Amino acid sequence: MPDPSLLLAPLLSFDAWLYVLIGVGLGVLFGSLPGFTATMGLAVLTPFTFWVKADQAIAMLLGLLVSAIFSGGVPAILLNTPGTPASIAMTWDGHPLARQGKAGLALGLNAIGAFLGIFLSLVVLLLAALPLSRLALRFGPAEYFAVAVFGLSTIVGVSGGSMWKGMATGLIGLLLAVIGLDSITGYPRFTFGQPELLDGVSFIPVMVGLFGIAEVLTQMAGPARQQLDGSAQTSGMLPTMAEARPLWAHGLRGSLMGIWIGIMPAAGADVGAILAWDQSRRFSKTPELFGKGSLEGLIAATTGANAGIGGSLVTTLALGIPGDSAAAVLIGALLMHGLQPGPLLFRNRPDLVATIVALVFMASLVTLVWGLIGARLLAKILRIRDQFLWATVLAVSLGGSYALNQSTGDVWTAVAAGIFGFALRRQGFPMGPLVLGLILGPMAESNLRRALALSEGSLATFVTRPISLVFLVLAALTLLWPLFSKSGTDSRLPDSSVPDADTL
Amino acid sequence: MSGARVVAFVMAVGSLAIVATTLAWPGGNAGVPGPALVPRLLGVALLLVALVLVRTPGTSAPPMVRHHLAVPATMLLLAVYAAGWRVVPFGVLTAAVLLTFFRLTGTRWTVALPTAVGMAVTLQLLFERGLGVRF
Repeated sequence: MPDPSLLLAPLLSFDAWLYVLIGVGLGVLFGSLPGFTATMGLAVLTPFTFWVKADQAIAMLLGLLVSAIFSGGVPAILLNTPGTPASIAMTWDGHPLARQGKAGLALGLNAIGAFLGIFLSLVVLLLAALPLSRLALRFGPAEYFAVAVFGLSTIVGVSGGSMWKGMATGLIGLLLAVIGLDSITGYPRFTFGQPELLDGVSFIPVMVGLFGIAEVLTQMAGPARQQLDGSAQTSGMLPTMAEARPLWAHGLRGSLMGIWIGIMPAAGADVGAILAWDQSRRFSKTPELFGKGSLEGLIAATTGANAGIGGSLVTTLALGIPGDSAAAVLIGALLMHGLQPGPLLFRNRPDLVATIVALVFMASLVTLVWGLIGARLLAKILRIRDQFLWATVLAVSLGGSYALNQSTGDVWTAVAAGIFGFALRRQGFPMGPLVLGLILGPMAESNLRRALALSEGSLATFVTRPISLVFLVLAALTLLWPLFSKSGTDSRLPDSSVPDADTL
Repeated sequence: MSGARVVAFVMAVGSLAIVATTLAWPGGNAGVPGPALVPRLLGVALLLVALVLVRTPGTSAPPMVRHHLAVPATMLLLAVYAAGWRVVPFGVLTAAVLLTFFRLTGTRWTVALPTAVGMAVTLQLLFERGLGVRF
């Protein structure tokens, strides 16, 4: 653990606070706008940090990362449109809360959950980074495949009552993920001679289409949202003691899940939030409320997403392996400033590790204050007429899709995904499994094939390695849970109660 | 035939096409899977799931209670927007598309026109000046 005085130094620096504030401001922009992501914000900002000192650059980048992940939850709650992939799970309970006139409470919980998740993840980063990173270092392809299977097993949880429909969209997501050049052999798959498809389907435009455009079309076809037009929604941002008491366990569980998923390379805040929500539902005394505006579900998703930041930093800093795409950009920024993340960093530059921990804490503190004060203003978005919100979401979503690669192909992808998503949602097909498949598909396939190549085709490799076995057993339990859970037959809920056509 | 059953039927046909496409791909050797294995397995799995859904499609689409004509019109408008992306200047195209959208959804001319122009100008400034995006 670093010297406490090293942790205090940035806290007493005016410069550090200033650059964190700049980063937080930019993060709010990138996180709040659907189609923009923390990764995109980091990528855009990184070249500009070349002209400032390394610690100032890190302060800005970490401020952006922390606030973007938090801010993504704001449109997720208010508009049912996740600002970033990490906030997909926040739509499931956050938006129903807003529809019930509790937007203020949902936004307040989002801010508190973000701070709690990050704070706990920093404690883990400080106390257990080395042992955990040593464990993660032992992961081979079999373990990564098992982790991906565990993630995919949650499709049952995010499918609502339509398990078969959820499986169908999950398989479509997995199939979309194989489009492009095969990562192992370079063989083109489903590219139909189109060079734009060689790199595969862009994840962000697909997400923008499924969750932005399809959402607008669905809202246009559905009943008017009188319930979103309540001035009382901006009040009561803090839960009462009675409301808060059961939330701690869910916040803690969500944080631990987010930290663990964040530590594992290639699984980021989006997966952490989804898994945290799903596991929280399983342990809840009121699982029937999940997807209908459960405070427990929202706090689990928020802590799960934000705790991934600290978890991701463990592998990023200790091993030099990015926990997710945002961490990959962060590594690039550190390298640009002559800093080499990896095992030697903890030994040679404890000051830098301490600075990073302190900066993330500062960014989370600023974000908490902004979340509780500024979110009141953001909640007023609900008073805007539907047509203006829809127009804004459509225009910013398509503009954001284009801005990623400055490619009109991405605009077409977003439009196609939007129409496709709308058509499926109308028929009760949930979109969450599709996103899970798209995120975890490449990880599952490449590691399955690598593991089989290493074991010369023997499937035993997945059950003879303890870590792999543990995750596969967890996946099996997740899949079989509905058979053994309470409430009679199973825990599957009515179509309208969990993320489904209405809330996803 | 219900909408959900139609979707399931389309999925079944699509999955058959996927499996057929992968038959020509390298299957791997000596127990080590090639690029065809995973898509083929997924195609077969989707076929099975689609067949279950054809048999029991579950809930179908609720009726459209408002903007039922504007929804398909908006889809068409989005396609026009994408097609005109690099043909028409971004600000002009965005203003025109937004104005059309506002009118489709019942906004008065007096509100729709200034709002569409204002939003288009704001977006152009945000993307071009703020983020350095070139259209």
